[in-house]
Amino acid sequence: MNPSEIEFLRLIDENKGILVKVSRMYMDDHEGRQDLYQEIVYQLWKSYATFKQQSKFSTWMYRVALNTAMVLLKKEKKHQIYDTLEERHDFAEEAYDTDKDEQLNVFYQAVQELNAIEKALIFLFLEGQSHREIAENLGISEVNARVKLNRTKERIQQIIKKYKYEF
Amino acid sequence: MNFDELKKSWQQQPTDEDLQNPNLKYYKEVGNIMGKLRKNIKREFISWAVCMGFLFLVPILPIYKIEGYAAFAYYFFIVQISLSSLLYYRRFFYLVKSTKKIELLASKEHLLKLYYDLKYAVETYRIAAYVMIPQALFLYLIMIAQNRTTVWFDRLYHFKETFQQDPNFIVWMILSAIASIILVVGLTEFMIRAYYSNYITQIKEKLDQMEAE
Repeated sequence: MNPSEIEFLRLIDENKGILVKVSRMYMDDHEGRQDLYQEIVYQLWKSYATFKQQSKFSTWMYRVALNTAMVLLKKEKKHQIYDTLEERHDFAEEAYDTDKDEQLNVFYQAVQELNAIEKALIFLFLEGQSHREIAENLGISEVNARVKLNRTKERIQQIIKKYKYEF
Repeated sequence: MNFDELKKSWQQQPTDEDLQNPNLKYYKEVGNIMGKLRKNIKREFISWAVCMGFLFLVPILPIYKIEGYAAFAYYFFIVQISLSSLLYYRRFFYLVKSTKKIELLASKEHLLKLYYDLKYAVETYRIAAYVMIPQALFLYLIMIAQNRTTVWFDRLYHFKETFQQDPNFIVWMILSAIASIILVVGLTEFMIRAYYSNYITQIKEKLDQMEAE
């Protein structure tokens, strides 16, 4: 293994949480998340040589990860719609231990009904990014990011209400 | 729903899910294989285009003297062969295009898709080549007969009489046909082996290695 590969894998391990969360947002089964995770790492590795240290590795990672996830989701149409909350609930429980956090669990289930861009918006919001940062990452205007994010939040609330969950 | 609370839960969620890093060496290796494969497909396509160009010009060349009905039949077969060839080049074009896209190389699933796409393209190539053998034989006949094509066809049409009067002609025709079939089949298999088979094997090896890990 050459030094740049070692360095790259170290950075991936340091920021693995981001990739895990992106994978959870976009894929609702472990196999799908594994595939997406690997796809993102490959895409990062592919463009790692051109990555300039002007921005933080994690900032660059957000962009590549979300772009990869969005393209992959659109292309493969792996997004599956589950009719009942029961099925979704089982899926989420299998994914990771969320006994302590039902709210997050239900959120993950609801988020699977969003489209690729809505997922990216809500993901960046939850990661604590400002409207400006979200706009920069997704290549849209700040106003557009704000409007779209508000709509996405409303949509999530509607989906959760549909399942008769309240927080 | 309180999004601030959700944000807090989101940031505190455990992220220790068992997601394996991919083996980056496969990326390089499969990338190299696909690069060579794309180059071979292009090279093979250029050779085909040059061959078709030459075949198209054959009746015009004074050495061949193909005229009249023979020229009409000749061009008919050329068009037929070109169209059949486009059938497999369409598969190869799809393959080249898909290997440039994002899903290339990443997961075993995608590599498996690539493997079967390539196998499918090669099988289409083989089938199209075999199906074109009769047309190729006619073309060959027209080319070597030169201005005697219609006479030769007439002699073949009256097979019984010709066999009685000039058995050597029939024997020579049959032997030529057999030799041509062997040549076309041999050439097709050689082209497949030289241009594509090795890469199918290499991709299969990578898949097996991924499976074993």
